[in-house]
Amino acid sequence: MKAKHLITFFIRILALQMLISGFAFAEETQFTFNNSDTIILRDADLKNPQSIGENAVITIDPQFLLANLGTATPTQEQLQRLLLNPGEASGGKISTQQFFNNNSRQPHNDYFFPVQIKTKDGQVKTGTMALDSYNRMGLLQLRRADGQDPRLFQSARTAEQMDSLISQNKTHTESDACAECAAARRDSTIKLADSIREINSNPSLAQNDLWNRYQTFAKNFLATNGKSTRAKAGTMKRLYVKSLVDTFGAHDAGLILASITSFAEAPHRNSNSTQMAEEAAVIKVLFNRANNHYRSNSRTLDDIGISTSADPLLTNVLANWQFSTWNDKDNNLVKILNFDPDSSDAVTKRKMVLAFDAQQKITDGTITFTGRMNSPKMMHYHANYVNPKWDTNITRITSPIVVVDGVNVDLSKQLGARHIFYAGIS
Amino acid sequence: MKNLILTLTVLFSMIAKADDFVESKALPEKTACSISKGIVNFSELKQSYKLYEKNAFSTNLIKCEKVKINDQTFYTIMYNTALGELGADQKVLIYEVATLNPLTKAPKTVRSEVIDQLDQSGDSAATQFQSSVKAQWGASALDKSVLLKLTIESKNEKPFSYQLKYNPKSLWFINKF
Repeated sequence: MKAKHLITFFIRILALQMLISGFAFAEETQFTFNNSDTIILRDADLKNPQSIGENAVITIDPQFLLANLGTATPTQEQLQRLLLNPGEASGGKISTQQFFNNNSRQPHNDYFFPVQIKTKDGQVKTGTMALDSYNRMGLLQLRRADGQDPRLFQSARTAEQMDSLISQNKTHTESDACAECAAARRDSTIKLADSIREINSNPSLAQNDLWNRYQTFAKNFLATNGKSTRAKAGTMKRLYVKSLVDTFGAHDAGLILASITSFAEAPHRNSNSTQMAEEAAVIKVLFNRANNHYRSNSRTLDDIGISTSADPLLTNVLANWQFSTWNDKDNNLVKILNFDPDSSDAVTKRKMVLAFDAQQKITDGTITFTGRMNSPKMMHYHANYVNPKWDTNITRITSPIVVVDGVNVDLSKQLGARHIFYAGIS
Repeated sequence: MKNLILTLTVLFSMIAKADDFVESKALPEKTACSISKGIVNFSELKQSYKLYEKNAFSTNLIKCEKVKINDQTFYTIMYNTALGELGADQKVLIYEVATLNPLTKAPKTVRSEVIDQLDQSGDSAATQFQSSVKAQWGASALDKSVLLKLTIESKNEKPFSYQLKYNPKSLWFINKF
């Protein structure tokens, strides 16, 4: 009889353990990814890179998330923002680390995450990965708990509740919209609902004719030509640019492409004014290049029979090998060609809207630049994870300040600052 | 009735536009060439010319061919190279086409097509090109102009074909949509 009780007791313990491990697995699936291409796993010292085949499932170490994000079980949205800008999302706790690519003498910097990887054939490996790098390239796909399109990382329920609050014009925060997630939220990640609500009630955006017309164009282009792939991207880009010029004329097409370049190039920011400042700085570089006729060659324009003298801004945006977004096989280019304002996720659409608004505000003078950021020779920048040969102390701008609606935003003081700006490089 | 005729005309012109590629019986043949410091030399031309990508370095020649269409000879080179203009190095795979400028009789690039690229700046994984290109030469059934049909093939995506049309005035192959 005692033995029977003992067996029952052990079975209960076993069942409890299975239940716990089952729950643990359920928690983990919240933050697993499918990669759509080959990835690199390194050791803890960022050495010995090894290629992992496609369709591996990647899990970030929960302890790392707890220590740096304040929760071991972040929502998909928190995780997406962590990958978009690890420095900002972690409140500065995660910083870049130096590493060397294969056969490269030049060091690079990137954000690395401790991960466990389960390969397609069932092997489990641990190490470190520059996940944000893959996210930037569009190679990682966040898996949604509800099984919907993995690109739409914001849960349907949260989006619905947020939309409802926005339409009722209530002054709620994102925490209210997702009550069960509130405990997991930190200050740096609660601004999105406010930011989106602010956009919806922003009169300058409602009157942004170019943005409104571009939305119609983007929807029609996608409906007519279908989704792009990496193989198609170069040709689709040429058709897209030709259609833009045919629809808007070369001048407005240049303004649209400048806005979209800033959307793709600028780092993600939670606050609308900081996001616009980041995007405005990129647009300012483009405006300066156009005013100085910095580049006069564009393979893209040659290939579609549009003169490179049609509009200097258009030519400088599309100049050969200048802004990686417009390279023929760039993953960002595929995202831009496939952008549908009606089905885009809230974070992407917000950043796109703000890029158009930033361009408008520079034109009407409500975004300005101070010091050397205002120099007409401010024509270069690069991400802090590359080391170009033209990086010198003389030309580097140490206080990149953008004034948005009268408020100074110092880009170098932002958590996870990414871009370094230069003036006077010939 | 008028609408029907208009619709049929549009339809026929669309079909004609889509189907006017007639593949040439003349196939590209291999020919000797070299690249050194951005200068291309086709042995039979006895004249050199500059690559379209003037900032290319560490260039590796893959294949040189020539093909004669409508009595005009086109020279093609497939090569890979590194480009440092961005600050971040890119490794690119390029298919370049050249022909003799009818006025100067000097060789000139008439198209430079990026087939694939590898970003070397971040910790991106791709160390080998994923895409390749298949070229078919021909002429338009409508206006006899030289056409080049390129098909991009890669292991992850469906093959994608598109056409380029030679514009003798601008000495460049323009995308045909």
